[in-house]
Amino acid sequence: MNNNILEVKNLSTHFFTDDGVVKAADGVSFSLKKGETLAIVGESGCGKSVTSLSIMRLISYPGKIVSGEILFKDKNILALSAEEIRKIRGNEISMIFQDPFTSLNPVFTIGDQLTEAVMLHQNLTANEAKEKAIEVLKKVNIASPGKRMNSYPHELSGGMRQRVMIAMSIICGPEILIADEPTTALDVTIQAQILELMGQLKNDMGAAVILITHNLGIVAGFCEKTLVMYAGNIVEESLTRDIFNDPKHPYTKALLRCLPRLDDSHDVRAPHVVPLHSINGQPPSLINIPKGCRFAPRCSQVMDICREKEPDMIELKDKNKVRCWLYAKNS
Amino acid sequence: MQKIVEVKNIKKYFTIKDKLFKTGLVKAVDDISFDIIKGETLGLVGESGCGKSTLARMILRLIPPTSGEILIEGQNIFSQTKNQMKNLRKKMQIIFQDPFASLNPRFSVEEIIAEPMIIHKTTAPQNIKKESEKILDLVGLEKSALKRYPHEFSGGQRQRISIARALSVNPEFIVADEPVSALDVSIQAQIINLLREIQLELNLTYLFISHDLAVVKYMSGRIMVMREGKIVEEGASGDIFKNPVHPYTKTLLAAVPRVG
Repeated sequence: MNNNILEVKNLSTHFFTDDGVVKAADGVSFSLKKGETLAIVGESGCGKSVTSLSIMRLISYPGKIVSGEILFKDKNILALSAEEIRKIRGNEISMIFQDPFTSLNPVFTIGDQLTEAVMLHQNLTANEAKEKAIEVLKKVNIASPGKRMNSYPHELSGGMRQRVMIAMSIICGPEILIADEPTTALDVTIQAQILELMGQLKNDMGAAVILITHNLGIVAGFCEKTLVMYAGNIVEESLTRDIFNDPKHPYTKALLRCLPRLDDSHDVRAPHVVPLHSINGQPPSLINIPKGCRFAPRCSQVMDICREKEPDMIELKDKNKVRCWLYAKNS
Repeated sequence: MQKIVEVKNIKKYFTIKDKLFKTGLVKAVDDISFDIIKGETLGLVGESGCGKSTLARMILRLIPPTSGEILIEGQNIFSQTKNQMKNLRKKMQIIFQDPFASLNPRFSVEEIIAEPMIIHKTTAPQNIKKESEKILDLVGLEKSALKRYPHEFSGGQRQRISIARALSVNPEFIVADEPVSALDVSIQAQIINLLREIQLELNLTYLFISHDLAVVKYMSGRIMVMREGKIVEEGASGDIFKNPVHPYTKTLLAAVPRVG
């Protein structure tokens, strides 16, 4: 039996705007095993959120999934009817959004919003749903959950709201949990609490988690495998510890060097600037993706072939994959 | 060592309506004193709501304090007349966090950079264009950018425009309020390098505000940690990160996810 719970094959999601076709995700392929924690990292506009929204089938006009397959338990999600996908969405695959300040409905109480999903998906009565909701609020460590059921979102702090969002996403016991920048809007100390909570829940429920983030620090502590995306494409797929200890793709390497680190000992009072490593230029426009490798214009190890032909994903000896011509011969 | 900014027992309390007929008091900045030495970068860290932006705004006299005084080059900014203040304002500028909200979308880049020079009459009208080009070059933008509008630029480029605007009146002291928080990592590094370069070139003094400890450490020689309106720890940046004393600083450092 196939132990991949989710397989994304050659997914392309394009946005048809007045300025042209924005190829937000362009041939994305990866798989997710049962109970695995996968990180998708990349800078804004690299297609990481579009990929996750495609999995949820939440892409709306002018966006469209133009090709590819998304297999959830060997069923192609993209071929399901709207009604069938509604049964999966929020139930078997659920999502935590980035901004806890806008993703809760301000005019409904926490209780209303929590019970809505369970009543819809699991045919529980209002009272059963309420009990269940209190139970998950307890699970996400919200004090006096019974009382909080009657609170409105504006009465809660950012961290509490994100806990409510997490409660909402796990209330139906999903098999895949997609967390799109779950801690970006939060302070570091709250972020640490939320990550700890997510780790705990993942172990308790055995759900597979896709964590989408631009913060490499979070990835280091939380995920087994990491995908690095650049300009709509996956450029590297490696075990997380290899990403940090032995990054392969020039983009991954450069990205890691860009981070100022708490443990380096440079002296700012030095009379000359020791510049922080930076990547020159900007990511390409997704309307006119250049020929060849998408990172070539900013790459420090660029070769002639990089400007001509886009490399394929190359599997290396250690099972990690990289999309780069530098590795073409020694594979 | 010359003190460029002296903050003495500054307080800012906001009254808020808690419930009907009841008011509460928020002590956003609660009795803070410190100095900034010419040419240094003083880092200010703290979580959202700790009062760091309120403090920055008072230093620029954008909001009045509840009590206390702030001296810029020995002059108390809150007792200056409007005209005297205008003179002082030339010396202090600010770079805001969000390059998407802090540039007027109806102004071309030329107008954005020229406006402070016109208001403060620092540059003769016929030289403004030349001066603008010089500043653009300093922040790493092409001359052709002058005729374009903010929406045509990416986040990193817009932040370069904000920096150019701040530099246009030859300030001595710049408050950088989360200048790289809205940017991607690779762009963030470019802007950090730029801020360091122009600091050395123009002998600028920075108050650098951020919630990102690694960025603050990279930029600053001295760091203040702020919590609930108070400075809980202050010291050389190397010392604070090696031997944090205050329990809150320890918590803050422990919460940062580490790379590798």
